[in-house]
Amino acid sequence: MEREQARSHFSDYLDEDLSDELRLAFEQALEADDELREEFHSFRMTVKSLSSLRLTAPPPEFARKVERRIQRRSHGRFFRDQRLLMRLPFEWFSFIIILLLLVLYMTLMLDIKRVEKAGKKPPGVEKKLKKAPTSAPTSSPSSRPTAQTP
Amino acid sequence: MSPRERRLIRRLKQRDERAFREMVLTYQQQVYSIVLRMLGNEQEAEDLAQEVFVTVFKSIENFRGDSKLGTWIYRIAINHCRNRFKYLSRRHYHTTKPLDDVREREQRQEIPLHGQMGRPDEVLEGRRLQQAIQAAIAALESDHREVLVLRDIQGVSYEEIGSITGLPPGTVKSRLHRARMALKEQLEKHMK
Repeated sequence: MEREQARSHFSDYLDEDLSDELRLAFEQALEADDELREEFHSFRMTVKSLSSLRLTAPPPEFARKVERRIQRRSHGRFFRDQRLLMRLPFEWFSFIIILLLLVLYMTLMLDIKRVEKAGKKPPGVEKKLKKAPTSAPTSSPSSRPTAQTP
Repeated sequence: MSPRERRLIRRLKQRDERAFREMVLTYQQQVYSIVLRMLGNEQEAEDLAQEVFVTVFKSIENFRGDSKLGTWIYRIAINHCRNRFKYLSRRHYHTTKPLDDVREREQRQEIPLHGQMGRPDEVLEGRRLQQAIQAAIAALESDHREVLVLRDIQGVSYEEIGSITGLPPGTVKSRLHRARMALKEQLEKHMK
């Protein structure tokens, strides 16, 4: 077997993909040619070193990042729970604050109206309140029994 | 295809989010490794690997079950890599810095090259060799890199590589041989 032909069988030999006849011829060529043998050794080491490279772990949270990407692209149609949780503090919180402010405003307005209503009492009541003495209350003279009657 | 895989595919087609999570967790390491070895840049690899799974989610209904689910996912990954290569080459992207990314990552992870290596000099030698290998892979043509990464790093069979790349088995073999020879030359250059 020629050197060039033997070179073309390097991979097949490593993968055990040569017929018995070819494999024998290849091995004989290797034995006869030092340079070829050295080249094949280097080739074998290259392939071996490749197979020893391990799988590389993806960055942390990889799966979650994929889900977030799908969620964003689908406008929240998929992986919705996470989206809701993510958005709750921002949107729902502001909504609740607005609602609380509205309730507070309404309560204050109602109180003001009640005070105004309480301030506008009928005129008779106001006069009585003005006439009433500031000292201790006295009973009306008509109710007092008369001692001397003509 | 195993019954478990068939069930998983059925659930994926029903848009079951748990099934999707399960699928990502099963294939994330393989997909990320392929993409990282192909691109040689961590950031690009993470982005592209995520895109691969988004595509899987979008087009799972088109999966007919002719091949294994893993093979189909690898095919999507390889197609994405090809498109990214085109995009990056238009932007005159160079792989000098990215290679450092992979080296740093591997050093952080302390991946041994030949099984369990205890001695520091052996560890250092292993790291040096790994760096040289990654640099040599990056210097290969992209079609050579594809078959090399799939066969010699991921351990995918010739038939599956044919299915992934769309090449006949004979072409896969000859391309792999040329890729290995080219890598040997590149490695010799780097080791000098």
